[in-house]
Amino acid sequence: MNEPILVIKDLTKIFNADVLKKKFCAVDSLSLTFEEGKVTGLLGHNGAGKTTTIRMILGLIRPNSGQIEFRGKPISYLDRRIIGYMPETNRLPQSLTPEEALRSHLNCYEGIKVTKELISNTLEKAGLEKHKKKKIKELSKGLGRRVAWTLATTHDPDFLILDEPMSGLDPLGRAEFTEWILQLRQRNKAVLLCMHELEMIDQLCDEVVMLSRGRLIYASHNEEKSERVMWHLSVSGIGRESLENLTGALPAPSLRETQDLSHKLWFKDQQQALKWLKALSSEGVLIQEFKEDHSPYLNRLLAMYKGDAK
Amino acid sequence: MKQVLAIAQETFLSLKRDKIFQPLSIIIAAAVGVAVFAADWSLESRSQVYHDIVVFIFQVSGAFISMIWGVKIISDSKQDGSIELSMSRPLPRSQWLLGRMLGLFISLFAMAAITGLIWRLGAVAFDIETNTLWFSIALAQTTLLWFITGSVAIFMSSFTGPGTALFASISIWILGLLSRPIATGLIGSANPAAKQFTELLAKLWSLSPLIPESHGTIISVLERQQTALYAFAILSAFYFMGAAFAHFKDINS
Repeated sequence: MNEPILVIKDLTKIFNADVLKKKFCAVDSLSLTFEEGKVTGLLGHNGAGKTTTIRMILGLIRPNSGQIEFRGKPISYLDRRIIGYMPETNRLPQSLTPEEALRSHLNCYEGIKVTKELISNTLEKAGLEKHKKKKIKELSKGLGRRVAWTLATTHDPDFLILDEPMSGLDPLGRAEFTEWILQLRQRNKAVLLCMHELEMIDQLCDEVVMLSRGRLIYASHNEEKSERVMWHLSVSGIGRESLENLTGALPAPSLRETQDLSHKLWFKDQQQALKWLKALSSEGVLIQEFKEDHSPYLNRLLAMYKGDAK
Repeated sequence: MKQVLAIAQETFLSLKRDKIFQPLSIIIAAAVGVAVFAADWSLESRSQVYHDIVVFIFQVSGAFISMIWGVKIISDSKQDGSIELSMSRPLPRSQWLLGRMLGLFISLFAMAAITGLIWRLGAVAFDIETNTLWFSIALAQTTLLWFITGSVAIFMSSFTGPGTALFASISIWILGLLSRPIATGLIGSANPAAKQFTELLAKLWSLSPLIPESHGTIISVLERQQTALYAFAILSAFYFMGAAFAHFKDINS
């Protein structure tokens, strides 16, 4: 287990939502752990409590109860020296240029000598050199995400909160951001990734947690990342009975879909899948597909989303 | 301090980017024109009428502008959500508020410089006599008044929305302006508690030390020092109250 960097214990936030003082529990007894070198995906549909949780970590709102610990101590504003935050789209100082926003941002950190070279190099790395004199509100959505990324990462934080980092990015931009996030993990940074694209979450995250109505409904802590992957074998031209006769001695697949003479099989264990593949191919059964497959896991997450929406 | 200055610079740049100084220059020039016109038509001393009218217009319009800017710099960052980014930096809310206030003061100082320049140029262009010391003191008093009305707006914005903050700031300012005439006009049979309260309010919040004397009447050095101290005390009070509210209040952009 990696070193925990941020631990949330029994966090609860209740808002007095309206003038009638009808209380609304945005986050309910939430406990989470974020570890160094791990990317944690925070999922949940709108109103699930993700943003409230992020705001409590940043100290924008105070919890009614519970604790947030950073490196074993209650979190304080000083810990934000090593926390990076990439806000949702357009939550940037709109009338400043990327250059001014970056200079102002870096000046808020002790120990960083803000020079022209530093600003210029940072903007160049993010692909913003050409746009450094434009106002942020004049930039495209994708360039705005780059500005937000630059502000979140330029002070080399140990813990990063990335809120919808890829919204509005073109495929090239998404690939670049994916690469950057993976580099953060390699550099042993802890990342809290808040986004709705399940495929990206699955690709990037070591841990996945899902919130619903402020409560934690799923955490992949007890599940290795490899367990999310299944092995998919697709065969055709053989009836169900014949298939069972051929593979009767082998352990059954985890999931199975049969339609006439076509069979789709999923295995949790690669070795088990290979045994099936070997047994069926040696009998001349037509193998249509054999691949690593994430879709059962994604369907599981989607089912949780749907269940939550109900 | 580096952090506070960074926020102040950010605030000044945001206000500047919104092109606040161009229309302001036109308004100031128009005010000077009105004052020149009135001075030429008045039976009183030309210079006294010109300067007194300019001071009145600048004090009133500048106070409104400073309150609008004060509300704007807080509410804009809440509305565009950039307050979240600011708060993700390692600085306490009190310093963020101080930076915002300082940024506003820099902008108001720039406004005072433009005002002073047009005011003085108007006098030179229309051959109106100006007492330089009086002019400097009056401009300083006016600038301090703007700082104070701006800080009232920042204080109100620290815990309410923009509309309420602006309305409340204007009300508080007008209450201060009215307190002195009300206090002096209270008859002997008035409720002693109400009288005492009105007199105290008039003493603390009429902002009378910041209202310049008529042109040519120079206040003493001691009075100048007392005025500066008075302004500093009020600014500090509003800053600390604003910082206390900002500290305890949730920030929901």
